[in-house]
Amino acid sequence: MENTSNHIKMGVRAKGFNILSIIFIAIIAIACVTPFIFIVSGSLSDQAAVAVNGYSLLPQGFTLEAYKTVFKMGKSIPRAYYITILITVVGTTLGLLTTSMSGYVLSRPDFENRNKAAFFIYFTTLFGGGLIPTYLVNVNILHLNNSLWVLILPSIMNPFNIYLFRNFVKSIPNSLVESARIDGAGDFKVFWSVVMPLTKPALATVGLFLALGYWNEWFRCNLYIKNPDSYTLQYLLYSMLANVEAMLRDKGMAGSLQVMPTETMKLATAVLATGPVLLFYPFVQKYFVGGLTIGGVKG
Amino acid sequence: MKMKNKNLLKKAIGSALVATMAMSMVACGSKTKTATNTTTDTTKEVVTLKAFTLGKAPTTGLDNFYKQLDALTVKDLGAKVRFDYIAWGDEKNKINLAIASGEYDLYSGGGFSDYKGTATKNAFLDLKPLLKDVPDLVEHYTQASDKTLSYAELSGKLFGIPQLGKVDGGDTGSEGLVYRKDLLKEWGLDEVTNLDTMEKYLYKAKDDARYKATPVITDNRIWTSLFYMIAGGKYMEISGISENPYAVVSYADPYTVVNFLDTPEYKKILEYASKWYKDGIINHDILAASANETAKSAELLKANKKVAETNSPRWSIETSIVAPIFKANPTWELGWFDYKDTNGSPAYLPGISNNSVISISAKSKNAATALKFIEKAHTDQTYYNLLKFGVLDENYKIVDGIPSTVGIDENSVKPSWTALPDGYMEKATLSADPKWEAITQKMKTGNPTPKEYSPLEGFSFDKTELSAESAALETVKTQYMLPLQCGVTKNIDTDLVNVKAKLKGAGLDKYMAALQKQLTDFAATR
Amino acid sequence: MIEAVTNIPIKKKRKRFEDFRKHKTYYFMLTPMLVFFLIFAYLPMPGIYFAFLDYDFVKGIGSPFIGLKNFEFLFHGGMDSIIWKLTKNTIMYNIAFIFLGNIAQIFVAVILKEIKNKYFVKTAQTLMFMPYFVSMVIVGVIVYNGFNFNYGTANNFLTSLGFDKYDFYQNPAVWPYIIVLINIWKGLGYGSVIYMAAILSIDESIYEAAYIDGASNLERIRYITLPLLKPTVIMLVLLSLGGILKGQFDLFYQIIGNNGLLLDATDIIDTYVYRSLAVDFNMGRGSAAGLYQSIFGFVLILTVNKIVNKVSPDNALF
Repeated sequence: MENTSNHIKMGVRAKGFNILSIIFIAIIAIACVTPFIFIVSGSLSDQAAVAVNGYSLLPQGFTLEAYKTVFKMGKSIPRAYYITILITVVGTTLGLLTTSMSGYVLSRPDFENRNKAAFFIYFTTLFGGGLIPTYLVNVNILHLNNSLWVLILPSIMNPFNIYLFRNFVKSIPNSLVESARIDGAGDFKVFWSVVMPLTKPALATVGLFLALGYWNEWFRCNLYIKNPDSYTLQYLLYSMLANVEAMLRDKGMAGSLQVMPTETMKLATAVLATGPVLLFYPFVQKYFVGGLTIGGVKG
Repeated sequence: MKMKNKNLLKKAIGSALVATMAMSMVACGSKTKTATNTTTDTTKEVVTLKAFTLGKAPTTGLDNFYKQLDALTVKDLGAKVRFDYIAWGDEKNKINLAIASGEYDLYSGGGFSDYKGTATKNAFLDLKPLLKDVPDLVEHYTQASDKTLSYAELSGKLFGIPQLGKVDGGDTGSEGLVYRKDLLKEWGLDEVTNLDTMEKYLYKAKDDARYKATPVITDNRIWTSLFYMIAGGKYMEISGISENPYAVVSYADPYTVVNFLDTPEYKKILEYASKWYKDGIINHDILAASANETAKSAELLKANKKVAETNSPRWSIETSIVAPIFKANPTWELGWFDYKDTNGSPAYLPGISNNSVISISAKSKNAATALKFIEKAHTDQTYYNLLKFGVLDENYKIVDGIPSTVGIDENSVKPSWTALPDGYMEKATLSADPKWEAITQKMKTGNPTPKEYSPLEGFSFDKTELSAESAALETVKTQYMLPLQCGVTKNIDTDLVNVKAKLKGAGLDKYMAALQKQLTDFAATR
Repeated sequence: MIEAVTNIPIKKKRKRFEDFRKHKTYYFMLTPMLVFFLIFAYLPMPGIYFAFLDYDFVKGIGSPFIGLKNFEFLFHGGMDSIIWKLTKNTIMYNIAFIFLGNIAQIFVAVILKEIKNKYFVKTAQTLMFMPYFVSMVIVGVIVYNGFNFNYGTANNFLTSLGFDKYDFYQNPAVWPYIIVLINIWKGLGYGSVIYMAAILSIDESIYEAAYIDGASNLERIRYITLPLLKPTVIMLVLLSLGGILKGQFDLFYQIIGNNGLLLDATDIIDTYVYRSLAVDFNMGRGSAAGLYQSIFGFVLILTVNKIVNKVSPDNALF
């Protein structure tokens, strides 16, 4: 009897809590998306109107001029999409494989050198050679210049992701590992067949971070890639803007009568770069729901 | 055991798949730039020189470009030249990295790169000893004066061949006021020819209901304009008034350093700025403006919300303002007031020591050939047109005997080989707006042709021993001087005292002493 | 541990090889990681040496050794030295970023877990992710549009309520708050993903058991979720502490730029170095600044990790 009334009371409280939570999250979500709305609306606005009035929630003088200009200048946008998707898929796959293996090993209590190995990789976050020595290694020693590998390889692993994965694996009860061992499985089999399926949220998280990193890759493309056929999407958009600003400075042009909506173009490129990911993210979301599916653990 | 092997096998297959995918990518990725010409190699060893150009590669015409270029260079120099097109954006970083890794034979450098910093650290070859092999080049550069090339030297060494500006009586690089002449007439004001008439124009705009809402001065370089108008007749800047606002020299005595903040002219600049700021002529958030406002102000001018543009160099106004306005508002009239025009300063030959240059890498294996290539570029019209404009009818057209890009698709326009432009190799280009053209012509004929170089030409302030002071002064400049110079102040006198104290604490005395010593040494060499 | 019971401790003479043979697979699996970091992280490291050289392009690594001279521009001025102000600013901002940022992310993740409507959660998460994609350049533009004096959104809001316009861009005091807020905003969606994943790994049955025992939402959060998140929190904080002197250059540069009035409150080491190098490029000095930041972070993290090792060894980084 007591329990039921308790539950009824809790039911009401829980509902109230639920509503409060929804309101709170809704406010935050709106705060996050509002600037983005400004950006989208700005990209669809008339350049002169925006210059005078600033940005607004609704487009002023609706026009597709900015997008038209972007596509005219960037005939190679589809190619850039292809390149970006390519490096994202390859990079994320390689990254997940290597990061998960590394994180797993570092989490094993029976691996005595795990702390030394962990420090080995952590140290690299504190000290680094700097931009120029890294560049020299990549170009003069590894000859990664102008190959797509330079966009993929240096990012497949980083200490942050490895530590993250290690942490998730640590939360898997040792008893599962032990029982698999008793069944005669070797270290790798334990990793591959027992632990991996249980780390879906971790894999999804690390995978997401890797994919996002590759999707946004522009800095290394800027430094190493000279062939326009290998530009990533973000970099193409960035260089388009930089080029427009530079063209306005370039002395050698005789009579270029084009009027370019530079401000709204900036916004249009931002939308083009981000759009696809927002479609992609919900799709990935379902992998986050995971957790232990093997029956409850005793004690 | 069997299970383990099977899993390893699975993993191996997986990796193999990934690797194959990757291989195909490498094939895609390393698709190099054009090597399409089928000219057979001559029996002589043909070397390849690598150079770069800043800007976007044209989408058409590159094949023909290299065909024509190779036809010339293989015959004349026994070499082929290949250009990488480096996009703008982070160009300083990219060029520094390229220098460090020794990727190119020929480098373009200047204000957009850390040319002086890297050159003095021996990134580039000293070309002085090699000049004897390129007599045509040397002769070309002595057209204006014997000393031209020597002014491009740093610490007595020639690290690059500079861009060359032709003397035509009008310095297209100077800044000035672009204003609406039709409005001027409407308001019944005198033509803008000095600070007073300029001020009247700006204030009139503020009173006009159409333009009240938008502050007319939005560029935080406005104080440099005031400098030219107020102090520019008496004083000469040393390394550019923005970079070094602390010290100037007077035209009367060009080798004695004057602390600019102590002069009455400086105070006058501050007074004007503060007055304009208080009266709303200067944008309230002018310090925050930076990149945000300058692009916008061209828009506002075109949209008839702003009546003037204060800090653009004349050649840039051509493309960003004149051409579009001419197209959209043919009834408008634009006027131009050059800040240096009427301040009474002597006219000198166009400067050399701060121009962009083409350098040869210190690690290049084909330095002699590279230098000869530069010579050809500056002396042979076919080379010059090819390297500057591209392939005729693909990258540019000839209109009335002058190269022009009107009618060429944007994506096919070729950026010129950076740091190549040479006034003596080009014919003057016409403005899009005939009324604007009239102004340009007036400038050229109205001024006397200078015969001499500035007394400071060739001087470069070596700050290697002053790194700490330089850095500290830079911060004081940004934090205290700039606001004051843009009029953002409650009390000029107290702020000025504060600024001077902060500068002293940052080491201004040591800076000035070093500057004076170097200037004195320099004077001795002239 | 079961192994401890069955193992008889034997004096191991060739311990290293035994270890290797016993954990052959482990080492095999670890090889990619070891090779990777060796090549991409350790190989360029000798570049740190540049900080002590008067770098000459022809002499390269053999350039003259000038000891600590490259560090002078950082430490100029003794007591009045700018480095203390910069270090203080950098540290304060980073502490705010790390702690407030993580608290916000945990908060959001925890609340998200409690919400029953999964569709809402999914949508909200997607929306919260958007700031991550907005480049700092655009952030600078948005901030300027929001806070400028003439037509900024904030000032429009104030005037519509009857207040006077406020001069944001001339008052250094407000900017630390604005900057921290923007940093939190930008990282919220991204960071909460980690915490969400950690929370989702918690066995649902524990929550059910608590529900049956009559625990309310808040009690469940306090006694189950938060304690089980502790390892993740400690790890993330530790990982961030190492970079405590390294600022977010883009953030500060795009928002503050060269607005001198705000520099006292917003200048960090990275922006100072950038300004100095822009005027007078020097490879050695750039390396010197980076080295200073690294050493500081290194000493700090060693200290903190040691403390964590004593207090709760499982959670130490190494």
